[in-house]
Amino acid sequence: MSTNGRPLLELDALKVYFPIKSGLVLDRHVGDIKAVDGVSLTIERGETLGLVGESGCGKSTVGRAILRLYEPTDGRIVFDGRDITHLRERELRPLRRRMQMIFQDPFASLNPRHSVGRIVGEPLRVHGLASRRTVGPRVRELLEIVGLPSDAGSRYPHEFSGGQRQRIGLARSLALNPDFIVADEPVSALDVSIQAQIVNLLERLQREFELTYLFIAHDLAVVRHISDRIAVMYLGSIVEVSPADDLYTTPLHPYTISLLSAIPIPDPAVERQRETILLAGDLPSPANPPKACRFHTRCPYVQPTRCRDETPPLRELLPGHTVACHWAEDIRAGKIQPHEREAELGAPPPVTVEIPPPV
Amino acid sequence: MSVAELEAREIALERPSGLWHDAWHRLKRNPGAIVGFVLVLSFVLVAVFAPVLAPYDPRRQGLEGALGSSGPSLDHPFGLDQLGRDQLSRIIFGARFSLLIGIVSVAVGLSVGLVLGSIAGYIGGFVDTVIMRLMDVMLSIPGLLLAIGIVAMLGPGLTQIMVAVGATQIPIFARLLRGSILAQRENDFVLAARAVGVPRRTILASHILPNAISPVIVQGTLALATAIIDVAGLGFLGLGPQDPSTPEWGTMLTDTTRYLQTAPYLALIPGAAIVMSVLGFNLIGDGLREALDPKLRGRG
Repeated sequence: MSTNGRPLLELDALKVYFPIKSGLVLDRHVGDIKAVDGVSLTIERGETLGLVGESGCGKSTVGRAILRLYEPTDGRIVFDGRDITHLRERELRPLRRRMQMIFQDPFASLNPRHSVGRIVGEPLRVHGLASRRTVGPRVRELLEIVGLPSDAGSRYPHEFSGGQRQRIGLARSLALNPDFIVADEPVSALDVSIQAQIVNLLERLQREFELTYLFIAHDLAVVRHISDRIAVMYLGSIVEVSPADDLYTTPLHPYTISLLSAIPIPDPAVERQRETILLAGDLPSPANPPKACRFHTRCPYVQPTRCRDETPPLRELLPGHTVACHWAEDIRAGKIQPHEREAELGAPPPVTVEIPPPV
Repeated sequence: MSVAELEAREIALERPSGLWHDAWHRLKRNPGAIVGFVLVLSFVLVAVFAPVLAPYDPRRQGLEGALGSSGPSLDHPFGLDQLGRDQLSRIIFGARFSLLIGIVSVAVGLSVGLVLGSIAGYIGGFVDTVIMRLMDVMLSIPGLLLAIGIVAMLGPGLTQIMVAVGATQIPIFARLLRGSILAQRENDFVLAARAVGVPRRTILASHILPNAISPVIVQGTLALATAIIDVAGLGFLGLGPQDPSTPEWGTMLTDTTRYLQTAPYLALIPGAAIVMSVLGFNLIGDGLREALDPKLRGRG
């Protein structure tokens, strides 16, 4: 691995739009679902970047676009100094050895018709890294690394529990010895007791194999535990990036503040005094996101000026801690207090979303 | 000992089992499917060993005992038909034709339908639209009518019938497979395969198709039943094999309906043979549908 100071992954104003089509015979392009709309991020070697946000904010799309499972609409993806935004599948194949993915649903991410050995061995066979004879020992080794019995290879996914399946998925993603792993909510489908096991396993593997993670989640507690830095996403864009602990002690963006205030505290005395900020309304449609600051329709700190007519850029307020809010300083200083507000309804008409064909 | 280790010990005690193994296991416990198997198996055995089983030559005529003048007897359990041919032997040989026609026509429909369905489902876009609208046009014409049209175009005969009946099955298989592929295409394991760098063709062949195929297999067995009925229907309408000595169940039915009042058994017996074979395939199809349902996996 070459370590020359440059980040392992850079996203520069990444946009992923899914076209909305209508029409019987000829598809007319009538609009876009702006799943990811101008996301810029850097991920350093060996770090874990947590990416949080509520369902539908585009965090999984970011992860999948990085691996080029979705075609980026605009912007740049730079992996280890190389622009991979528009590489063809053939040119991409050698790079696929270096970046892998772990999926959320351990039941859907393993082909039920293939034995575990075939699943874990597939990356090796595709990249010609193992022959029919040598693939077996390597698969057993990988299974042992993730804490499964080495004879699990002859079994089928349905014979395993959720946590064990997640281990199988991990073994598959480790098969190619990658540098970078996108972990798309790897523990949110698991029981809490199993979650800890998998998180610990992820951390151990990171130390052993010098892995870099993009850890996508909606569970703030898990993310805090595993991440070095955390990026908060709202409706297709990043609203705050901060070192993991800072985010919890000094959240700067109103959205982050509301998210954190919603975490229950397991102490009745504290819990009674805790003030939750309830966000009004639902997540606006990404087909027709609010203008300027995207959070202004629900923001408890919304101000009469700027919020509705000026897009806030990400600004570094504290060392390593950037936020996209015009009023972050005043909110932090307590000059602006949250106020109750009604949901702003102006919901755009419902649209049918066509899932894009695989690229 | 950690939870993972405990679970690991537990699974080590069970034998590994593949999906087909499981499905077979479940199929064996379905009484309907067993009945279907017995019916189809006897049907196939009769077809294969027809020359051994048939007591007489199905084409030999003997006007002395023709029609009604001698009903079912020990010598001729199903009687003699209007030309004095042994009805039992004709039924036995008829099984060959029905089975052959059923299998060939389903094979025609299945293979063309599979190719069109996979292309439409996996490539999508404009290709998909063109193929599926074409299939819609074919589906909008009633199956038997379409088959009659094709036979009228190609001329009557055994091969033409098989092609015609097969053609009517194409859109059913194509639609079924396309829908099934669309459902599988968005699965995480397909994304995982792409993330690993598995080539597109391999993804379709080894990840999508094997998972998308089970409804097609079910439909295939049910289509065998439909094909037998359609072929019998075409035979009944006089579009069957033109050689009148060919023992084909549908044609036998037509030829003997005229004598329904004097010798009802002559029409009833080919009718019963059609019903039994169709029932057999339908029962197996239903059993397979249940056995292959992934939601039922792990049970029983």
